[in-house]
Parts: sequence; structure tokens; C-alpha cells
Amino acid sequence: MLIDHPLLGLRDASEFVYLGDASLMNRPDATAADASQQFHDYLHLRDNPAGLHRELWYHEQGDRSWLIVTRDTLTHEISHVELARDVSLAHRATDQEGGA
Amino acid sequence: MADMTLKESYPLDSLDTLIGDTRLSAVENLDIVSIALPHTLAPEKTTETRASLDEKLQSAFGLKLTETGTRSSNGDKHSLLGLQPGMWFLVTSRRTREPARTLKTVVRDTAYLTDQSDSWAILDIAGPHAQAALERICPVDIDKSVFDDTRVVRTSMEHLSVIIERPEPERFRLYSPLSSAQSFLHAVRVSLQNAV
Repeated sequence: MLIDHPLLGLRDASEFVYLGDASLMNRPDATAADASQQFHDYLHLRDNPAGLHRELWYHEQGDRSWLIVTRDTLTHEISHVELARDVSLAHRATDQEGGA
Repeated sequence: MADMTLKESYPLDSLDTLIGDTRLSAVENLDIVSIALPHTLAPEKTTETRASLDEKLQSAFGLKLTETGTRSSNGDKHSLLGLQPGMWFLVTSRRTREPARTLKTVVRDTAYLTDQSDSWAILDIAGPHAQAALERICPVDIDKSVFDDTRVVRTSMEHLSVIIERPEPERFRLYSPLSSAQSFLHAVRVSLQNAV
């Protein structure tokens, strides 16, 4: 399987380490009233879709980037790859706009 | 007291051998310093620091900060390898006592520096069968049309971490961790023997 790295182009999947669902980037707010329940869900509950899945991959044997790969779990077809850093910064900008 | 002096030794033991018409040789006279841009949560601050670092390196060595996966060189003396976002190796073709301390006077507070000179086993593989030998163990496309002297790649060969560059059309330079130097040499040597 080849992953189309946004900076480096097509790279072999053997260079990467798989972490899991990209929602792991969205860590719950520890100060929320229901933080305990939120952390339970964050740690233990995962969707298991037969189809498109956004997931975190780490380019350990490459440029050490974290990527968000959108992969079809039925066919392994990869339809989209983003730098996790870019996604995170975009979320932060949106949050700041929302809070302003 | 015994009269003793410490003497440098190298893990590839000054290897220099011909296999068929392709030469495999250890490179033991390089300074390697990693240059890392400080990360902040403010992207504009990082951009500003990067611009300042770029200016300092250009003025000292004539080298422009490269994008990840690319390298720049000022002839044989210095090369700058873009290995990951915000991190480069400056490779200098001589050994000095404290290269990071020397470079610190150039980059000042724009980057973190680490002396990596004693962390890597370095092999040059040069000759008509060099590409064929590496293609057997390298998962990255190293054909001349896509991998020339402007490119550098960090990947793995036979499960060992490797940085690969191509300073000349028929010469590749490989950097692999020092601790597995002999295993790495074995992998490259066997592949070359199979290719010639």
C-alpha cells in the first residue's frame, strides 16, 4: 500500500506506523462537568466503519510527520491525506474565531 | 603511569572495496549537526524564526533552507539536508572538535543544534551498479528522473533506518545509525553482490 504524503509524494506503508481513529486528536476538556464520561468514551469507544475511515499514521521511517489518512476499510483505497499539524492548526483557528 | 593515547576508531573500519565495477566505501570525515527550528503554537512566530535562520545560513554558507525531502549544497564543502518539517542536517566535509558550538555562533538563538557526527555510519556506493543494488532494498523510487542531487530521503532498507542522497549521478551516499553499522553494511554489500 502506498500513502501519498502531502510533502514527499508516494511512500511505502512500511515506513509508517498506524495509530488509529483520527478523533484521538480531539482530546476532551478535563475541566468539563462530565469529563470522566468524556474520557471513558475517548479512550474506549471507537467507530468501526465498513467504508471511509479517517485515521492517524506516523511517518516514523521518514520525515516523522503525523498524517490523517482517509482510507476505505473495505478496499484499502486512500482517498485523502493531510498533515495532522495543518488540521490541528485549522481547528484552533476555527475555535478562536468561534470564541472571539 | 602508562603512556597511552586515545585513538579514534570507526565502525566501518575505513572500508573501501570494489564489487564488480562498483565501489563501496566508508565516509569517515564528516561533521553532522542537526538544526531544529523551535516549535511554537504561533505559526507566524515560527515563520519569522525560520526566515532569520535562513538568512544566517545563506550569509555564512551560501545555503538556502530547503523544503523537506530536498537538499542544497555549495560544492563539496557543505550540504543542507531537509529531513523533516523544521529540521535539517548540516553536513560538513571535515571533522572539527565541536561543530555544534561553532555553528551556534552562526545561527545564534534561531535553532536548536545537536552534534550528530558520531551517530551515523556513512557509506558511499558509486558506479554503474549502484542504483540497481539500492533498488533491491530501498522502497523509494531512486530513478535518475525523480531522484537527483536536489533530493534527500529518509527511509528504511532491510528494516534499518537510512538517509539517502545522490550527490552525483552514479554515486549515492547512505547514512544509517552507528549502532547497526555492520548489519547495514552487510545488507548493502549483499545487495550489490546480487546486482553485479
